[in-house]
Amino acid sequence: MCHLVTELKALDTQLSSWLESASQSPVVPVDTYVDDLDTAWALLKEGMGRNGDVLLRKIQVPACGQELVLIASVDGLTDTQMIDQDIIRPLLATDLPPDRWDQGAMTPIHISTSRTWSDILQKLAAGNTLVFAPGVDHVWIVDTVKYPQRAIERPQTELAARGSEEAFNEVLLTQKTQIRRRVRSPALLFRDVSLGRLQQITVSVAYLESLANPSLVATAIDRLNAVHVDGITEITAIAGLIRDHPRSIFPTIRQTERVDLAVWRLLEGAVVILMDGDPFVLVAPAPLVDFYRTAMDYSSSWIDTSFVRMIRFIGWLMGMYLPALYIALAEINPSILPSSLFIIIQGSNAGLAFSPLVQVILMIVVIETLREAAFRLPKALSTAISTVGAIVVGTAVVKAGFVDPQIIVIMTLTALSLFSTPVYELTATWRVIGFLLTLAGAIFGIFGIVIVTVGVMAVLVDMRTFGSPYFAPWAPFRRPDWSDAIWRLPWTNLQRRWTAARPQNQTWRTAEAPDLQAHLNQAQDSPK
Amino acid sequence: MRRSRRALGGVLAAMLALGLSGCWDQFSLDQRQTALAISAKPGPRGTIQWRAYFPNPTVNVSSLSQISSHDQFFQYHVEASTLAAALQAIQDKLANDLYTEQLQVFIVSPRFSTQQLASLIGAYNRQAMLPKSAYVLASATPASAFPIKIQQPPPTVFFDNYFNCRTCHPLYLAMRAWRFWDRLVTPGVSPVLPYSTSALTVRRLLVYPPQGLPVIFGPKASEGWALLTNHVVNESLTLNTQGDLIGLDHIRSHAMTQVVSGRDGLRVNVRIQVRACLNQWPPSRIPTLAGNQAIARKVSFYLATLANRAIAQAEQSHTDPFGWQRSYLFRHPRMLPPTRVGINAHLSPVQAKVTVTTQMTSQGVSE
Repeated sequence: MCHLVTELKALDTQLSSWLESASQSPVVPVDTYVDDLDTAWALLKEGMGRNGDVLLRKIQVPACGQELVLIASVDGLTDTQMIDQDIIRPLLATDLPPDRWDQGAMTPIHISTSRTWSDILQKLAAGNTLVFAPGVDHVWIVDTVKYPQRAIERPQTELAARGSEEAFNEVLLTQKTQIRRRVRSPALLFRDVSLGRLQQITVSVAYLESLANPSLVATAIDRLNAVHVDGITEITAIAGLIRDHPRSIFPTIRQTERVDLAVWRLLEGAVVILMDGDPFVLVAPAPLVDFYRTAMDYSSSWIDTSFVRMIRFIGWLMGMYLPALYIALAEINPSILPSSLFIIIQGSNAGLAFSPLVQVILMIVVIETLREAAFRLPKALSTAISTVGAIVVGTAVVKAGFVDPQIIVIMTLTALSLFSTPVYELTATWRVIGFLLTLAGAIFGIFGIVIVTVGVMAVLVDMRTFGSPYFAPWAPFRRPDWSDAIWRLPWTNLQRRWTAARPQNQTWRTAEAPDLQAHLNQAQDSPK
Repeated sequence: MRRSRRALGGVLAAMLALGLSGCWDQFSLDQRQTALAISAKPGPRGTIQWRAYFPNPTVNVSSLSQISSHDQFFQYHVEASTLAAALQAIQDKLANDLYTEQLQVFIVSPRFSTQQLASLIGAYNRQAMLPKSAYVLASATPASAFPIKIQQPPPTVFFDNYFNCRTCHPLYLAMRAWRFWDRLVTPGVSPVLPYSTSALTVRRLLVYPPQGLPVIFGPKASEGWALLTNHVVNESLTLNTQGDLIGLDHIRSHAMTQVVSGRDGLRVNVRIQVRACLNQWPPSRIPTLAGNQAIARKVSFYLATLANRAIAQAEQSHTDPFGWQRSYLFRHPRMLPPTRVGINAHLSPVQAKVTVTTQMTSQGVSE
C-alpha cells in the first residue's frame, strides 16, 4: 500500500511537471531548457549519455526537499575531486534555495548559467559540470575542466643554445597562462573565438591593447570569424584559411612554439593566435625577414647575431643558387667560367651516363628521401639511416658512376644551406624555388636564373601580410627596420619597434632613464 | 578573355626567354671539345698552318697524377687560308663540338705582315665564339714549341698563367686580343705584340708598322718601351760603378707624357719617376745620402738611355709604339688624316725628351 502511494506521488509529480511544461507558452523554442529534471535526464540519457564517459547522477539535496538534483559531467575532462568536494559536498550541506547556489553552495569561482540545450550540451562536452536543480529555469554550469595535458617541454623545432627553453603545450588555458606569466599587464587581452560547427574548438587572439593596432586585431578576429568549417585539428589549417595569399608558397603568417618569441612579437605590436589542441601559435603580421629572426638572435650578443644572420643569408644564397648556377654554367653558359674550372668540371663529368641536370635531380630525390626517412623513423634508427645515406651518397653513388663528385659537394652544401633556414615552412618554399631555378638554369642558363629571380622578387614585392608589405624592409625600403633585419644592432641602438605591425606606439626604448644614464656617466668618469 | 591574355603573355615570355637565352644551340658538357690555344703561321702557297690544342677530356684534379705529361693535351693541325675555314677543318676532325669560348692564348708567327695580321685579328674579332680576352702573342716557333707541357699542370696553359701573373715578371707585356685589335684600328699608335723566343722568355716586342713585317725590339728597347708606357712592374738592375756591383730590385716606373705640336713635328716631353729598392751595396763603401743620390743619378741615366733607345728604334722604323701621336690626335681630331683611318699611320716625326728621376728606398742592405 505504502509502495503504491509512493508510486502515485511520483506519477503525480511527473504529471504536474508535464502540466507545467504544457502550460507554458507554446512559442517556447524546442532548444529552451525547462525546469524538468526527468525531461533533462531523458534528454541527456538518450543523447550524450549514451557514451560511457558521460556521468549522470541524481542526488538528494536537503534544500530541495524531496526533489532530486541532477549532476552531469564527462569523465576524464573534469576534475572529479573538485566535483565531489566543491559541488556535491556543499550542496548536501546547504540550505540556500537553488537559484542562489552560486552565492554560497558551490565553491568554484567560475559558475555560469545557461538556458539553451545547445549551449548546455556544448558546455558539458567542453568539460564543465552541469547542475540541474528543481525550481530554477536554468542550469548551473560549473567550470571543473581539467584536461590531461602534456608537460611544458623544450621546443622541438626552434632550438636555441641559450635563452628560454619553454614551449607551448596543447592546452589553451596553459598557453594563455604561459603568456600572461611573462606579460604581467592588464593590457594583455585574449579574445576567444569558437571555431568549427561540430568541433567548437576555441581559438584565442592575444594582443596588447595599448600597443597593437586595433585594425590588426579586428582583421585577425574577423578572419577567424569568417572560418566556417565543421572542425579543425591543426593551427596550420587555420593559418591557411586566414592568411593573406592562401595559395602562395610563401608563408605569410608565422608559426612558433616558443613562448619567448610569441611574447616578443606581442611586445612589437603583433597579434598571436592560440588554438586549443595545438602547441604552435600563429604570429601576424609576418614579413619575409621575420622568418629569419629567431629567439636565439635576442639572447646572443649583437655581433654574434649579426654574423649568424649574415651566414644564414649566405647559406640561403648557396642553397638557392648553387645547383642552378652549376647547371647553367656547365651546360648553357660555360664561357663565363674560368677555363681551368670548366675543364675540371668537364673532366669530372667524363664518362658519366647522366647529364648534370639529371644528376642534380637524382641527388635531390636521394636527399629528400633520406630526410623523409630520417624524419619518420625513431631517433635511434634515423641516425643509422643518416649514416647509411651519407655512405651511399658520399661514396657508392660516385663509385658507381651515377653522379659526379662535384655535384655531391654542391648538393650537400645546398641541403645544409637550406636546412639552416630557421623556420621549417620556409625551407619547403625555398626548396621548391631552388628546384625552379635549377630547371630555369638548365633550360635558359643564367638568363633563366635571372628571370626566375626577378619573378620571385616581383611576387614578394606584391605580397602583403595582414596589411603590411611582405618584402619590407627592402620594399618598401624602411631604413629604421634594418636595425633588426639582416643584422641586429646593439640593444642600445634599438629604440623603435618594427614598422610591420604598425603599433600604436613605435617607441620601444626611451632615452629617459636619468638614473641609469647618471650611473653610466659616473662609471665612465670614475678613476680606473 | 583575361585567361587567354595571360596565356598569350606566358607564351610570349617563354618565346622571349628561349630567344634571348640562346639555349637552343647549346651543347651539353660532354659534347664540347675545349680548345685552349690556337696558333697560326704562314704556310705554303698562301695558306696558313693552324694548330689547336685541347686538354685531355679525362683531366680532372684526381686524375692529374695518373696522366703522363704527353697525354695531358692533344692537338690537331690543319691548313686553311682563313680562320673560319681552319675552325671548320678542325671541327671536321673532332667527334664533339669545337668549343673555343675558353680559348686562352692565340699565338701568331712573326712572319705575318701587318696587313696579314690585321686581317687575321679582324677575323678573330668577328668570330663571336672566340673570347676577346685571350692573350695574343708572337712566337718564333708557334707550331712546334708551344709550351703546354711544362710548369703548368693542365688545364692551364703556360702563357695564360704567365700573363695572368701581373707582377711576377719585370715587364708586363701581355696583350689581349681586343686591345691588339683596338691598336690596329686606332690611328696614331703602332700595335705591339709580346714576342716569345724559343726559350720561352718574353723580353722582346714586335712593333707593327703600317706596312710590311714587324720590327723586333730587343730586350733593352723593349724595356725602354715599357718605361715610357708604364709597363715596368718588377724590374731589377745591377750597376757596375768603379768595379763595385750595386743591385736594385722592385723597380717600378711611372711616366707622365706631354705631347705638343712643334714646328717640325710633335714634341714629346716624358718625365719618368722610378722607385727602386737598393738591395746590394759594396762592403767597401759607407752608405751615405750623397752616395745614394749618386746611384740614383746613375740609375736615372741608365734608364733614360733605355728609353731613348726605344725612341730611336721607333723613329728608325717609322712607328709609334708609345701612342704619343694617338694622344695628340685624341685632343686634336682635326689633325686626323683623311684616309687610312683604321690603320696605324705615322703622322709626323717626333722629338722626344726623356727625364728620369729615381727615388731609392732600402729594405735592408746586404754587404
